[in-house]
Amino acid sequence: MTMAALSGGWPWLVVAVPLAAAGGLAFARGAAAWWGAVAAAGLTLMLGVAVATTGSGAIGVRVDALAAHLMVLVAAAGLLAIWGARRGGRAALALGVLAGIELAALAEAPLVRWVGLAAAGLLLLSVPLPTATDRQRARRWQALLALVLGLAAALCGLLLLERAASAGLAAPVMRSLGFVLLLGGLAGGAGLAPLHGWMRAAGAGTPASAGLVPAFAAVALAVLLRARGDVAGQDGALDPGLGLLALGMASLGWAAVAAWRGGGAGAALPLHAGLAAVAFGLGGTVADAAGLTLLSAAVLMVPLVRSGGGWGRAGLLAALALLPPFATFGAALALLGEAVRTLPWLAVPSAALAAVGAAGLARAAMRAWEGRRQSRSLAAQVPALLVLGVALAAGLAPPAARWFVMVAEGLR
Amino acid sequence: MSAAWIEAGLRGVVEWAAAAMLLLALAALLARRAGLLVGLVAAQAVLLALILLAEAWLRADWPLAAVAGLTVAAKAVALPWGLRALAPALGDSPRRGPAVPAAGGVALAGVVMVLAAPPAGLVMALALAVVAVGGLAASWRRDPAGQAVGVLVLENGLVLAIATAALPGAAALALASGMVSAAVLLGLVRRVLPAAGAP
Repeated sequence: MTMAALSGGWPWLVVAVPLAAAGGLAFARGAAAWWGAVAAAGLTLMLGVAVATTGSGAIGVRVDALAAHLMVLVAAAGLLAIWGARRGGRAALALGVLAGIELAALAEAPLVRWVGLAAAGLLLLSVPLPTATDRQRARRWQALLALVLGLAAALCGLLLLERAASAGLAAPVMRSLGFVLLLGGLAGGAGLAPLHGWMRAAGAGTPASAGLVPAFAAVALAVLLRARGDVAGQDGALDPGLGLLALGMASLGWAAVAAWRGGGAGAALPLHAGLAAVAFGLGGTVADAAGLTLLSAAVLMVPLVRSGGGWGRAGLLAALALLPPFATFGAALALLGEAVRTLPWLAVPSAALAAVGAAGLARAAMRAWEGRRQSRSLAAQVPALLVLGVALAAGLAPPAARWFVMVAEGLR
Repeated sequence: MSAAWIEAGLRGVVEWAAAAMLLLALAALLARRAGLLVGLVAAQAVLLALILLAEAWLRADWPLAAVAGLTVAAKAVALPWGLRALAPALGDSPRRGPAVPAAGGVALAGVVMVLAAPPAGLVMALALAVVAVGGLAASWRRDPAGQAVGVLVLENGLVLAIATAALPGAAALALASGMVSAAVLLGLVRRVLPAAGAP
């Protein structure tokens, strides 16, 4: 009985392995700790691929196409972040964050997803800064308060949505209120400007944990995406797409202003999260697939842009700037076409804001290209070139694009 | 007959205790002295434990009774003791006019009650109002101690909402929500002690 339960519950290993490794490596330092963390992150990635390909389920686990995609994406981001932060130390903390995000991606119950996000977010901001000034400490404190307020609003929203669902009621007002609270609470965590300020403080932590900030944002946005389905189509309930569209446009506006002021790579996450929110707000398979593509690109590329240099950095910035022939270009084009078809009045302002943001990133890519001679060795750029290769293949090979369409179809 | 009488009585206790929690949350919005703030949170924790015990009895959800015991031990005994030890470093909050937060807190609680009570029920609406007032305290106050107490009030509201939502696994979720307060208290210690010159 116990063995059957254990063998049936193996998808939980995707959460248990990084969590156990985080505990085991908590007090370890140096190269051994780093290699241990790399091994644990690599094992998590392999387990994620195995769970995703076999489609195995377990009690409390939901392995649909979206969960499978997120699970593998987050594990890959974790491995890249820990690998890239060789001198950063505290890889155990990144493993703890990884376990929390995987829990949020994999859990069937929305309230368990909240627990995963809360644990990961609080862990991201709890890491002590070894040489913090009073100002940095104050900023981190404010970021912690902002995160806590967002998490509290999100939990209240989920409780209302769950209560409406468990009572088997249509309860349009309760569902609407629940979604509004959830949206407001998770918008900052999902990287949507102007509520994403806490991410800057989280990014100031250790390089390994900071690399997981975009993965946290992607899973938070996915939680919103799942909640969208609970509210959409209910008679008398608010249209959840409107809230997503509004926050997505605000984020695009922020990214455009940041890019205009020379913000460079800093505009990448708000730009991609904003485009994804607009896509999820529009709804439909094509828009959802485009949103997922853009979000996935940000999860893998933004941390590498922050840590890398040279050819790889220039290429990553070009891909984030929605330039051809990368997958991001095709996704942005598909999204624009969908916006023109369903909400023409929104297509022009959203395209204009995205273009300004993307232009800022393209300028940063050119600067990185010009400075490529001072860059690091080719070996150090392997992760960036690997991700670029995937983005290129996804942009050129139809089967890769079809994967995102399949994930989006699973949401219907 | 007597079971129905006990059930009605317990439901009354839950409603009145939840209302009292909201009043204590509004008081925490205005209090200036660190000692008083700590006392208000402790009193709110005792009321919360009472509600948890009543809900545990009403739904035969006995893990909630264990959460009630932990709430009293952590928030009504250990936390006040720890915060009083920190009190010299925390200091009193700067004097600011009470009219704005009082009006803001009452208005916010009123709006939440009007919006949430019809669809979600009275106690759930009171819980959401406590969360909102706690959130207002955490964001309006400028002193770290007051902000941390705002988060503790907010977390008490969250546990109240979890307990009254009648969902499976409520006790585990209530315990998990405690990490919010734990992270903020840890942050408070890191934020306040270096500024006060402590090692």
